[in-house]
Amino acid sequence: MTYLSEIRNGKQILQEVAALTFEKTYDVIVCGLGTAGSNAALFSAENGLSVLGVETLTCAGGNHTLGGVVGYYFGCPGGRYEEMDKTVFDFAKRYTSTTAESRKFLMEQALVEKGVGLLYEATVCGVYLEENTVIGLRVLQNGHLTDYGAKVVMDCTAEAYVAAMAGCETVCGRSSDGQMQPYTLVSLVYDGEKYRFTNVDFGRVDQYDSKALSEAVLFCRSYHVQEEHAGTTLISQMPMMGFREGRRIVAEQPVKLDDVFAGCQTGTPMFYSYADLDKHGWDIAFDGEGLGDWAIGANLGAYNVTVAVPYKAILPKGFDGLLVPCRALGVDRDVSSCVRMNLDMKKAAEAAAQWATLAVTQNKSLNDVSYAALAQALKESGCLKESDDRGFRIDGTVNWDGTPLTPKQVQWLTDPAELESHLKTETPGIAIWSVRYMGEKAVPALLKLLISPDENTKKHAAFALAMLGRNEGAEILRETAAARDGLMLKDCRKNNTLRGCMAIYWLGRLADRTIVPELTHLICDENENQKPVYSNGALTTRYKVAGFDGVYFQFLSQAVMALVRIGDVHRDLQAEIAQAFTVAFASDGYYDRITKRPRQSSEGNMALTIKTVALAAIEKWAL
Amino acid sequence: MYEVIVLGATFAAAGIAETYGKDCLVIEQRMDAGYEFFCAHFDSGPEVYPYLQKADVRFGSHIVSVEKTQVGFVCTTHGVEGFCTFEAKRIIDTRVTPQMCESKAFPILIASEEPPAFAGVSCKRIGETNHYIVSIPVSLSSGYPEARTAALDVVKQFSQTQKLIYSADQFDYRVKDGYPKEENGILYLPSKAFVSPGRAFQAGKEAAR
Repeated sequence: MTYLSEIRNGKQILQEVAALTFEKTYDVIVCGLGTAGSNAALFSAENGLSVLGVETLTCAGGNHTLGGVVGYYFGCPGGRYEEMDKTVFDFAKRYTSTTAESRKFLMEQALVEKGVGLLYEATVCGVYLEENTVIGLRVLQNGHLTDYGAKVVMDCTAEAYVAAMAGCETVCGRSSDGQMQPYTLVSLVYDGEKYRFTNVDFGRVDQYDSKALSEAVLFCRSYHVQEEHAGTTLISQMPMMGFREGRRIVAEQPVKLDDVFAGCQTGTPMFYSYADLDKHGWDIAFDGEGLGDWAIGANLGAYNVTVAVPYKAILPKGFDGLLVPCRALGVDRDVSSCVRMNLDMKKAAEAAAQWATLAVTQNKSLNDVSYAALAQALKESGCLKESDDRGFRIDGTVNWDGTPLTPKQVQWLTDPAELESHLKTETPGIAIWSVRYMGEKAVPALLKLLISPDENTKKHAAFALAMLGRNEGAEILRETAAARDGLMLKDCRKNNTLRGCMAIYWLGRLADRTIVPELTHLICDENENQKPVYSNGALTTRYKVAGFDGVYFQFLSQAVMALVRIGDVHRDLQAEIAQAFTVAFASDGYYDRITKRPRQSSEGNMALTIKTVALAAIEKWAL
Repeated sequence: MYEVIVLGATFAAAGIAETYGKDCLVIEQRMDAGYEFFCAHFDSGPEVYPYLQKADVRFGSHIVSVEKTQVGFVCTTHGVEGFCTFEAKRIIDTRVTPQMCESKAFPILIASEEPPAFAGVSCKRIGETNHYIVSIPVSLSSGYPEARTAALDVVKQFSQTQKLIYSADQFDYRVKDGYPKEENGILYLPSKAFVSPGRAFQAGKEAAR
């Protein structure tokens, strides 16, 4: 039986199709010709397949062209994309001011030369299925609906639009409030010497809600013009919005951050992803415990991780005929901020093209293609290299204080006797995280360090014990929280955490009931932001934003999330905590103390999130 | 039911939105507004977004169909929520279709130390800068790949002091005489029929009266 699956008013509608005639059938239809899609279409065509590309914009390249994101953020070089890159860079040196412009022309030229059919200003609005195998698409262009058949469909929309339309299971947003990473808008500006892309982050938006999406477009495009480009000439706001996060498929073989931390990575990789867990919102308090332990609890948020991405992470669970080699691939939310960069997308595209080629040429379903044949092709091109399994690294070019950064491998500590020398410094992160691997054997050493006369040592030992779920250091954590310890630790090149906030985070993770009055005071006191910590320059200038009290925001957000965690565990405290939330957020005073910026700005949106999370807890507790 | 549904988030649409406010729904396929003039001038001109903020707007929504009913119109769109329908008493279409036009061009913005000159192509300097708009004529039936191929031919003629800064993501249309006009109850008011964003905005305001 053949079905047509559509989305109407946000709901999937499945209807039987009695007779079906496709306008034309292709080996591959690529939906979305962005960073992933344009390469997937090109590589598929180079492999000899017939290819149709469907793109809603007016050119190929996506973020690399109309998005204005032209560079690579870490990643492991190697693969078929390198040939196009070289052509683009060489052309740009001679003829264009940015590689985005070169790529617009040269990628399209290559696609046309390889015979790829291009449908611009077009969108997919229906998916044809035989059972759970995708066999074709309904495409809308200039008001006309046309049906095309395909042996393999690639959803490269970044948003899993086609997968969701087909009925594949998808997930989205963080557990605390359902929100995604802040979106951004890139502009091309001229500063008198050179043409460059610059971006401004805005709040979080549900890009699957057309009204919210449209309000965000109106806000950011007008806000951008008015406030952000002093001293430069605006050439153009980029036509493509910068959404960093969206729907992700539930894949045949998903990737989980916990597995990355535990060293349990796939044996069937298609490539290795390599970057930090790149969070753009400062409200990391609400990003969950997997990320929280790493980025807040151990202050390792800007350390790079290597993720082996299995080939079946782009195959929706229970489906065939459909691959999702784009940002919407099957990774959990915690690791999604790493596995989304331009290089990863190009490598996923290459893997998808090879996979489709094997399926088409061997007349097999995607599920029946052997990994060995796929891996061989990916190894030959350099897309997949075992040497790309780089583990954990400190990487980048500049330290938090502007000094040059020397990249190096991270070696976790294995001997408890080594802990003290690390914990007594202002870069204790490696030691704190190492305790996670040492387990109980670290406890005797840490208990001794709790009574150290050295402030760093005992506080950081308390963090390490909390990492193991132990509360022997709770009193030290409480003192650190009560003192609003404003020391910014220095493990990372960016996004370092304030020690007082780390203490509050761990007290929440330990569900420490004793800290409730102190945290209640912190969130309810209208004069809290007058305390010295909020004006002593705890954040370096690199992290300061005009009209936004980042230190107060961090303490307030961590305190609210800690109270939520405590209330989740101690039902008898829920009413007391709910009352504190009610008082704290009865008026907009909290917002005004955090920021003077508009509510739809990134800062305003983050401030509002604190209240959203608090009120959600009250509702969850049914109070 | 809206008083009016406006197709295209153009400067003319902004004028209509200014008048109708929330009784107006603007439907736009792209994720930006005012592009019909930006693509020709590489200058956003008057600010279009504050006026559109007065109306309801749906960006990223493709028009599937517009059907007349006994009381007005039903407009079906396809966007991030799939197919949706909206009702209105009036429809004003501010977009341009090739059938409305007598010619079209593909503009590119270049930096040049000397006044550029390319055969068959008009070049216009922006103010006192070294930026020039090079407007490459293409046939009405040309798509973007053909237009960029023509542009690439021009780019490859660049001297050492010339660089391509930005190429348009929208054609620059020259609309035939005779607009605005009404057909089957729909007012066709192509924003690009007017010589400037301001004129298009005013035309939108007048059409809304």
